[in-house]
Amino acid sequence: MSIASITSAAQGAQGAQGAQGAQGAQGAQGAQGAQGAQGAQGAQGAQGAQGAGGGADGMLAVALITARDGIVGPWQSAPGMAPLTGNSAANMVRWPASVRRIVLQNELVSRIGFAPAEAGGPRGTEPAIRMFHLAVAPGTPVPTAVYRPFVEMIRPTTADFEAQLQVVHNYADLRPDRASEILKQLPGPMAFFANILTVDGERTRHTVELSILAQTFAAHVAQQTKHALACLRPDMRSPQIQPMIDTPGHGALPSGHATEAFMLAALLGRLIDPARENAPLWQMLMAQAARIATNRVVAGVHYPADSFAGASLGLALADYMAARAGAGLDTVSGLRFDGRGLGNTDFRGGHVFAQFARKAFAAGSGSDALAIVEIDTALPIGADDISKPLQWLWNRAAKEWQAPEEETA
Amino acid sequence: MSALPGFEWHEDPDHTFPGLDPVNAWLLTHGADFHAVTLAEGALGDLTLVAALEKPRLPRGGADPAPSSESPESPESPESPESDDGEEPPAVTLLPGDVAQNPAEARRRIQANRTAERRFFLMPLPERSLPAGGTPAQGFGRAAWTPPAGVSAEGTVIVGIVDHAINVAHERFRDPAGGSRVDYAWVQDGTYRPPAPGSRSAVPYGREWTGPTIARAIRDADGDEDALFEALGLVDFTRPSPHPLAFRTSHGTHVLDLAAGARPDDPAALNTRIVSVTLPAVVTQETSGALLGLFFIQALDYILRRARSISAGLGRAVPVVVNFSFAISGGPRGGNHVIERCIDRLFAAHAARLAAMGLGAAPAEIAVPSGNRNLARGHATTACDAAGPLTLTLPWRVQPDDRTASYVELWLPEGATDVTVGLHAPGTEAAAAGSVALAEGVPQILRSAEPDIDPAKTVIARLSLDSEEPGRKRVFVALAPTASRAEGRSLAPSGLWQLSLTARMPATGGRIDAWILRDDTPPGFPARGRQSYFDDPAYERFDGAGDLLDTDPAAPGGVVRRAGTLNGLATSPGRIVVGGHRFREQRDRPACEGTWPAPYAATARAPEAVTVAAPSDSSRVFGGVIAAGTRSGTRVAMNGTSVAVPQAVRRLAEARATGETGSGAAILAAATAHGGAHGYEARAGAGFLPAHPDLTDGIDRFSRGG
Repeated sequence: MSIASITSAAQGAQGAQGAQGAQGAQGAQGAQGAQGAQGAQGAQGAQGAQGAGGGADGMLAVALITARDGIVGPWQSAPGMAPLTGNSAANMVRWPASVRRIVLQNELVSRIGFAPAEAGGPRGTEPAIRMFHLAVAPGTPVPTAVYRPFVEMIRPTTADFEAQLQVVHNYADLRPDRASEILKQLPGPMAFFANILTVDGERTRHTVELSILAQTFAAHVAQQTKHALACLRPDMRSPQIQPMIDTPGHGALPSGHATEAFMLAALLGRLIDPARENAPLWQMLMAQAARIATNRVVAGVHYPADSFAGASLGLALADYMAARAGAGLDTVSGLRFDGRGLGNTDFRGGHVFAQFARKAFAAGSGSDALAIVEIDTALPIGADDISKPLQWLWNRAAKEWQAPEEETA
Repeated sequence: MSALPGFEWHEDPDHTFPGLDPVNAWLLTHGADFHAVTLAEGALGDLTLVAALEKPRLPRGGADPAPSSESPESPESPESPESDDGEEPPAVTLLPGDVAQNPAEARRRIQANRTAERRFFLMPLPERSLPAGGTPAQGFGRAAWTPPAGVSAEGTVIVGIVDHAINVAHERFRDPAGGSRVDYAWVQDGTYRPPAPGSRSAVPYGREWTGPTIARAIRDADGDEDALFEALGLVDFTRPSPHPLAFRTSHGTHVLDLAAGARPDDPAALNTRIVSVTLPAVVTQETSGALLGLFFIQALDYILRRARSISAGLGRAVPVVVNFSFAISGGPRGGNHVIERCIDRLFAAHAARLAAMGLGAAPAEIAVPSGNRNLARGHATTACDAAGPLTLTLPWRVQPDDRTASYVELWLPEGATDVTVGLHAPGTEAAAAGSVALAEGVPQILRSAEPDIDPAKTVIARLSLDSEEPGRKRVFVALAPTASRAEGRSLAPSGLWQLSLTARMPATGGRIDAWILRDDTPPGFPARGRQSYFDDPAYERFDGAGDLLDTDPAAPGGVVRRAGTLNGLATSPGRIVVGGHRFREQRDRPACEGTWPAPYAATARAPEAVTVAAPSDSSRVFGGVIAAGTRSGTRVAMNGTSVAVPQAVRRLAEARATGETGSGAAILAAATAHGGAHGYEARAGAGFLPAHPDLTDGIDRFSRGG
C-alpha cells in the first residue's frame, strides 16, 4: 500500500465521517424505533424486560457498536463460563423473576385439572366442579400421569342465596366504617399482610415473588370454579344491594379475595413459622384474611357463602402449594365444599381455621346439621410431585425469615 | 303548579290514651304508618310489644337472706324456687300487640287493661327477645354471687351502667386471672333463654350474662374476637340493622371504659365490680327518648337487684354508682319525669331492702349528663307576672328529607286554662289552618286536604293537652315526617312552620316553656331523622368575633334560650349532673381567655343545676376524649357530656370504695381544680374536674404516642 493510498484511505474515512451526519439522523430514527420496541416491552407487561432496558435504547446500541469497534481487536480464544446443568432448579437463580414466574405458574397449573359435575340427592341438584392433582411418574416414551381427587365444590341453592342476600343487606350498615379498607383492598390483599409481617420488596423479595405466585394460582383456581358454578352476584338478585364498588363481571362463589387472602395467610404463616409456635402471628394473619373477605360482603359484591367457599379453598390451596414446594407435607387434606343448606349462616374465620389447622364446618346442629366444609381424602404428595423450581423459590423465601448465616471468608 | 293543599283541624276522640306518653300515642296511632315502613326496612325490627307498668311502688320487705347454694362454675344452673329472694320485680305486664301492623289491636289491649294506676309504654323488641307466652315468672336466686378470688367486702364498689352497645367482654373489664369484672350483664334485646322448668327467669326479656359465663366465652374464643362476639350474641349480621357493636366506636364500651376500665393485669381494679344493662338499639335510635321509659326503669331495678346479689355474696351492703349517659330535651322538670321519679323510688327501695336483708347501708347514686343541646336552638320560653293570657310564638324550621316525626313539648303551669294552639304550615296564610282550642283528653289532628289519599292517612300533625305529670300541664305537638317511602300517605311540608300557644296564666308563676325533642340520627345508625329547630331571627348565634356564642346574651332578644337546655332527666334536686369541658383549655388558660365548657354543654336554669363538669374534649381543635374502641386493644375519641359522666362516676366509685359516705356532689366538688366555676356555674356547677389520674394523657388527643 502506497503512502498515497494510505492518505486516500484516511480521506475516505473522513468522507465516512462526513456521512455521519446522515447516520446521526438515522440514529434518531433508530431511537424512535427503540421507542417502538419499548412499546412492545410494555405489551409484555410486568414480565420485566426493564432489566434489558439499555439494550433497547437505539442511541446506546449505536454507541455500543462504535465502542466495540474501538476495542475489539483480532479474535482470541477465551475460557468463558462453564456450561449450565440442564433440568436443574439451581438455574432458577439465573432467570429473571419475570421468567421464573412463567415457569413456576406452569409447575402449578400443569398439575391440576378440573371436571364439571352435578350434585344430587336430598339437598337438591346443583352444579359442582371437581379439581384434581395430576400425579406424574417418569416413563418412556411418555410419563405416566393419573388424576387424584383433591377438591369438590357444590353450589348453594337459590334459597340459600336468597337467605344470604339479607345478610349482605344487613352488612351494608358497615360501609362508612370500612370504606377505606374496601377501596384499598381492590387490587388485592398483600398490603394488609405486609404490614403484619414487615414484608419488603428488597429484603424479602422472594417472599414477595412467592406471594404473587400464590395469588395468581389462587385466582386461577377460583376463576375456574366461578366459571363452573356460575353464581349470580348479590346485586343481580336485588335492586337494593347497590354495591359501593363496581361488581366484577365474573361469578360470585367462591370469593376471589377470600381465596387469595386465606391462601396467603396460610402460606405465609407456614413459611415464616413452620413450627407453628407463634400463635399471635397466625391469629393476626387469619383475622386479617377474614376481615378482607367480610369487607367484600360489606361492599355488596359477595355473600358470606362466597367467603366460606373462598376461605376453605384458599386454605386447601395453601397446603397444596406448600406440599408441592417440598415444605415437608406427605399428604394434603382434600376439600369438599357443599353450599346446599347453608341458609343465612354468616361467615367468620374461626369457622374454617383454628389451632393452626383447617377445620370442617356444619350448618345447624344436632341431627339437622349439614356438612358445609369437609376436610377429607388425603392427597398423597410424593417425591415426583414436588416441583424443584417451586422448592427453590420456597427455600429462598424461607431463608428471608431466618437469622442470616455467618458468611465465611 | 298546584297550590299547597289546605289543612283542617279535627277532634280525635278515638285516639286518646290516658296513661300513654304522647310520643308513644303518636307512634301507636297516626305515626304507625311510618313505623310500618321502617319495619320493611328492618330498622325497627319486630315492633310487637306494648307493656303496662303499675305506677312504681316499694317492694315489700322480706326474710333474711340464706347462704348461697350455687356454684360459680354453673352460673346458668336453674335456680330453684326455694332460693328466690322473695322480691317482686316492678309490676310490669307485657301485652303483646302487633303495633307496627295492627295499631287497633294494640289500642284495644291498652283500653282493656287500663287502670288509673297504669302507664303504658311501647317496647320495640324482636320476637326472639321475648318469652313465649307472656311475662315469665321472674326472680333472682338469693346470694347467687360468689366473690371471685381476691375480692373482699372491704373496698368493693359496684359501677352500674345503662347504655347501648357495650362490649362486656372487652379486655378493659377483665381481671388478672382471666375472669370478668362484669358480674352481671343484661342485654335487653338479646335472645331470650327460658329458665329451667320450675325456676324463675332473672330477666323478663332479653338475655342475662354472668361473669363466669363471660369469662368462659373469652377463654373458649381463644383470642378470636369474632368468635367471642358470636358466642355472646353481640354482633349477628343474620339479624336486621342496626349492629352498633360492629363499628369501630361504640358508645357503651367507651363510656364504661372511662367509668370502670382498667388494664386487665391491674389487681387494684379487682374490687370494682360492674353490672351492665344494654338497652335495645332501637331505643337509642328513637332519639326523642320516648321509648326509653320502661327499659330504663327495669334496667335500674336490675342493677340494684344484682347489687344486692353481690352485697349478699360479700355479706355487707356494697356501694353502687350508676352511669346513665342519656339525655332528653323536654320533660316536666322539677324531678317529675317518670324516669326521675322511678330512680328515687328504686334507690329508696334498694336501701330498705338492704337493711331488711341485714346487710347494713351503703351509698347508691346515679350520675346523668347535663346534655348536649346548648346550641341546638331547641328551647324557647316566655313568662308573665300577672294573671291573663300569655302567648309563645315559635318559628319552627322542619328540615326536608326528615324520615322521622318531629315533636315539640310545651309546658304550662298547672293553673293554666283556655289553651289555644296555632300551627301554620310553611307558605300558608296564618288563617289557612287557623288556631284550635285544646281540651284535655280531646286530641286534635291536622289533616291535609288531599282528595286522592285515604282520609285516615292524611293526618300530618297531632296536638294533645294532658296533666299526666305532676305540677304542670303539657301540650304536645307531633308533626309527621317530611319524607317517607310510605305510599298514599300525606307528608308534612318542610320549611318554616309557625307554632303558637296562647293560654290564660294564673296570678303567679305564669310561664310557657317549649322544647323540641331530639330527632337526629345517632352515629352508627342508618340516617333517618333530621333535627328541627326554632329559627328565631332575634337569636344571636355568634359573638362579635364570629365565634359561637355559647351563653345567652345579657339582654337576649326573641324567645329562644340556651338557659333551660338541661337534660330533662337531670332535674331532680340533688341529682348528680355532669357537664363537659375542654380540659386542655381549662388546664392551660385562664377563665377569661379560655372557653372552658364545651360549647354544646347545656345551660341549667335555676332551680335546675349542674353538679360539676368533667373533660369531654381535649381542646377546641381536638374534640373528644380517648377511651376504649369496640374491640380489645383499640382506642377511639368520642365527645359530648356522655363521656364526661363516667369520669365523675370513676371518682365517685373511687371515693365510695374507700368508705366515703358524704354526698356525691361534695365528693366531686372537692375534686375540682381552680376552686369554683368562674362564672360558668350554670354549666359547670361547682367547677371543673381535671382528667382522672388513671386516665390523664390517656384521654388526651394531644399526647398520643408521647
